[in-house]
Amino acid sequence: MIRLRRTDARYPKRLEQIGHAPDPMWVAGRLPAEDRPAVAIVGTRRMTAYGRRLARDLALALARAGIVIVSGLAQGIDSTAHAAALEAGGETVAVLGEGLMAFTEVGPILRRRLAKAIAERGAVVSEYPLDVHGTDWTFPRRNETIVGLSDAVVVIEAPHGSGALITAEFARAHGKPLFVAPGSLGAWTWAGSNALISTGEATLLTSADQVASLFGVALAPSMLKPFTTTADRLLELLAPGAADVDAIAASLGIAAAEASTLIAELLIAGSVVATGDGRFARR
Amino acid sequence: MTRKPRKLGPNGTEGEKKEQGGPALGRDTEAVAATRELASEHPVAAGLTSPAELISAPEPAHRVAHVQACALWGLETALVAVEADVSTGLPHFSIVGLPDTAVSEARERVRSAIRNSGFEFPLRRIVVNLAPAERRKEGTGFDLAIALAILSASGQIASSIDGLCLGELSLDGVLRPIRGVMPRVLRARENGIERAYLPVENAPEAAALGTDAVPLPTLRATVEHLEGRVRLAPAPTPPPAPHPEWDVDLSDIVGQENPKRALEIAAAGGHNLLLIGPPGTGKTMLARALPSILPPLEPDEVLLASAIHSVAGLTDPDRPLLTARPFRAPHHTASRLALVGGGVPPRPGEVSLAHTGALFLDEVGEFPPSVLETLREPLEEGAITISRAGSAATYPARFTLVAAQNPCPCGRLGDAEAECTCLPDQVARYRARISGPLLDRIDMRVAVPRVPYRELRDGRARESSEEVAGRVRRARERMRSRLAGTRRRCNAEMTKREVERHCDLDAAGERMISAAVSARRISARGYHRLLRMARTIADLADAGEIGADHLALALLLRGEM
Repeated sequence: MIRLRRTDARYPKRLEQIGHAPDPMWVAGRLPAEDRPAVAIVGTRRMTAYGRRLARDLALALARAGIVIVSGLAQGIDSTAHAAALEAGGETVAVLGEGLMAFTEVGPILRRRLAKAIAERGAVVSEYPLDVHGTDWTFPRRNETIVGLSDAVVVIEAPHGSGALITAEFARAHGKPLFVAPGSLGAWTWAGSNALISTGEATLLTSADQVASLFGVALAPSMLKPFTTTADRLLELLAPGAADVDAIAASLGIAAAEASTLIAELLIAGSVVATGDGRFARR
Repeated sequence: MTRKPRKLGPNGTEGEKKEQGGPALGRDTEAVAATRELASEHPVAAGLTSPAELISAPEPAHRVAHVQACALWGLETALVAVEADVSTGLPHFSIVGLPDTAVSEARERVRSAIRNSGFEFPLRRIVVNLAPAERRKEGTGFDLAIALAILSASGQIASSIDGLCLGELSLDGVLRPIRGVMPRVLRARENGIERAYLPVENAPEAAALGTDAVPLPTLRATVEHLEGRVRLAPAPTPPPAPHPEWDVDLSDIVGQENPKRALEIAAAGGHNLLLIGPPGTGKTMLARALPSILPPLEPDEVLLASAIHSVAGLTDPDRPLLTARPFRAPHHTASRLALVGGGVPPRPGEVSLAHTGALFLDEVGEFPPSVLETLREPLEEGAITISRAGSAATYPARFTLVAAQNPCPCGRLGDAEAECTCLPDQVARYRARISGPLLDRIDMRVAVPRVPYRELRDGRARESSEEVAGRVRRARERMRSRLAGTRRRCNAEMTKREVERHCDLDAAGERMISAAVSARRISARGYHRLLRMARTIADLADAGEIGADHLALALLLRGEM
């Protein structure tokens, strides 16, 4: 854990460009090289299964292409993006809205573990003194730091009043490219992000390529491909969220036994996971 | 250790009196004769060393009475000879032979009961011994035996008492029912005692075991019966119970094909099951349908399960022997004591009452974690040992666990008709209320979704419990013949070695399991649990080898990864 002053050579140059660059900044782990492109992926804590899948697919694709994933380590979209970046073997930076030690003391155990993993392969940073606990005002300021550390911002899923919308606001204020993923109309967790698209202030996200092309990086085609087999239809069926065996069999119009075998094969292959409550979801 | 009560020998009385050549010093000649006869056979028991000493003894003669009783510790029993000695001396009444408080208090009950039944309580020195004297005797079941022994020793009962005597006395001499009659009567039968004297309420329990059970209303009536003045008819053997009526039949439940399949697998193979679904989707109803498809109890299981109920004082007098596998559903406010048993003396808890049957924990996340953790031992060992200072009891506790839980704190996660408002961390915390080690022992995690209204009204024919129960019974028979010669009865109980021996996979199944293992989708423990479950699924399908589809279903139902 190190304390970086603005005068320090290791201090990220990107942060110089935002209004009040944090000084000092606490860093656990190692900040990625300055010349690596970085994209912030942010969104609501109350994510839907679809939002989770988008965040994961996007972070996987970008991290595999060597792009750093920046986010806020909140539960929901943020954590999903961090975890996917690690899974892809990429680098990721988590910007906390509280002191580093305060987080390790009171943070939920699962995300404490995630923070540890991030610090090994990237950095967990905070502009607050070690023992400061998060409050209503610490998180919005942290959001500006996220924008400061990134070259582009993607909002995956955000209801009205979400902190992710504040991040989007900062992105526009600092002139960073802003992408927003579209969600179903009427779904309240997507209302804020959809509204952002409707104002024309953000680009509608259609693929990971769209983001990667900003940096002249080409992605392996992975996100969207035509589906032909029953397995593909099953994966498509699970795109909006988890389902149980009976529902899957009914939707695909196949017998329960056939559906069971199919799901089991996909489970073993790793493209489907059990959610722990007897249902199955896309990974 | 036990001795049959002796009858007085009328011939001996006359003959020996002459030989004695002196006036009898005892209160009556019968007593003298009794002592003499006893002394000739058991000089030490009579307090004498030789017949010669008896002749010169200045003391009034007396006799020691023996009545058969039985002690109970948990499910363990031992015959106890209740010996009473009434001798001259200052009026005194003591009970020796390690009595606990309840047995010591029998003195007061017995004294009042004897007086209030119109008998004389001897104002002499009375010592009652409970032999063997080395183990602590618990409970109120010795009252009747103590009273009869005193009446016999003081000559108020002349005839022999030839059966097992059990029962608590009230102060006015009425007999009260006791717990644990069944294991005690079983013990007596093993020792060739075919008759039992019992309170009226307990008589059917003994009669159901085939023992000649004499139902006793009062101490007075007991003595009248023993003396042959009024014969009490033995309790009739309770009629075999009619085919049990089930609260819920599987055909009452619409949709839910996957949960029903899981229930069937749980019933056949004894695998543990967790039902997860939003409130009001029928988790409880599904669980309550389980008894209707459980295989019938086997004869030795009937005795043991009924004996546990008897020890807990839960025997139904109209149906003392269980006719169906027990289904226990303790509320989540149940304490650890209620769930696993305990207290002084240690009583069986819900896990033991569910032995051979099913234990249903509704809202399992609401049970305190410390209570849930106590389930680990019975789930692993099939028994629970309750150790307390001075007493330990082991009760069998092999049951199928069925638990139900909401998917998240608000209960709406995954519900198509409502929106869940829980944060991911809240859901994770909620799920973590069932600890990893416990969750590991749950073989199936099954979603119980909300059934759409149009399905509720479709009126299609649904499979009845009877049909499913038939499949379960046939699958059980396959398991029994496979596990013949072992104490295990169903697939869930198979040892790892038996899993290796009996769980043959066909080629496709073999490919699937090796793919799952090499992709690290299952752990070593999960591997064996998975194969046991796949074996049950194959048994239900009447298949010799486990196929890929059986294994696939087992994988999905296991639902972890």
